[in-house]
Amino acid sequence: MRNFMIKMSLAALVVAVSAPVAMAAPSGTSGVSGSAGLGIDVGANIAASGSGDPYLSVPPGGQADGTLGGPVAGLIDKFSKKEDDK
Amino acid sequence: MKGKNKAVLVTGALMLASAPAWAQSNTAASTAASDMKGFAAPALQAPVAYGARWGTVGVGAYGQTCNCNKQNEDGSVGLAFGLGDPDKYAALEVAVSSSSLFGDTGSGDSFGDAGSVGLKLHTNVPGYASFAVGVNGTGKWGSDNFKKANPASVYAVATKMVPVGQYAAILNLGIGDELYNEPNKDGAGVFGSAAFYFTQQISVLAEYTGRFTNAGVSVAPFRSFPLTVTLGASNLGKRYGGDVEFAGSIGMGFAFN
Repeated sequence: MRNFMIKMSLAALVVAVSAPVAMAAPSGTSGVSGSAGLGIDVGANIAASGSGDPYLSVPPGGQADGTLGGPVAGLIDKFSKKEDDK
Repeated sequence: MKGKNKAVLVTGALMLASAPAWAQSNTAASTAASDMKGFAAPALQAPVAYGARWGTVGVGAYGQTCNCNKQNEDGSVGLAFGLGDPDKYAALEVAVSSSSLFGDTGSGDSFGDAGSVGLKLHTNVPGYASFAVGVNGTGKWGSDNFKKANPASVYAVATKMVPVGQYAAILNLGIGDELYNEPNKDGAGVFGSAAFYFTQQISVLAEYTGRFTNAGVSVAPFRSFPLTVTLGASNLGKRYGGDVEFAGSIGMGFAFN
């Protein structure tokens, strides 16, 4: 319960801190000339991260019981149950 | 009485016989879950709220057609690793990318000459959901043109898995500035993605990055090997005078015990 409260506080803090930063940050370039604005130059950040391969979010050794795991743990639970049902 | 004893014996024998079978089936189920290493992606360009944790490393490449250089195509490659545990408190994902793979005919930068760093602080919460705040395109190196054209973009995002009957979906919603907002516009734009999973290895996705609407298909060809290939179409709305472009990414993850 204590861990849950700490995590919820952290999530609220993340949103509270990031929203004003994102709202206040200036925009300088057109972003549509050349490759800028197409997302190509940060595409590799995305492809290498959990967006590109969700396996990165799975704990080494596999999803342990009792861990939250996030959306990918949801996929594991959902589709491993489906296989069990067969 | 004799019949009753026989029934007890038969029941006991059945229980003994079924116990190993039950244990075996349970072991098989847990083996099946831990054997799942191939997952389809929920997004093509939009950041998601979960990511690398301590002990996991990812490599990836992104490419698309474009009207951005003489070859009409460009790409980038990246490496990501995680620090911390998002199940306990939070983890920091660090991604380093080398941009302008074909840029020597366009921006003046060639392979390795230009790149940037992406940082994402993420945490998992109950209900198969995650929250993250991050920045892409920071710590840039390369030509002045490259640096000016790729402003650091700050974002906050939430992602959740939702069961849909016997299938599943991953929904993703965030706000961010610069690349996640309209060009030449201050403040933040909204981005999001929705992916429908037929199995954990196949998804169809649609997303809005704050500038472009994209759609695609993601496939993890091997159940026990963490390789993900995502192909799609970018800029479906033909915004900013651009065409619909072909885009694709490939990502591979490794977990170290």
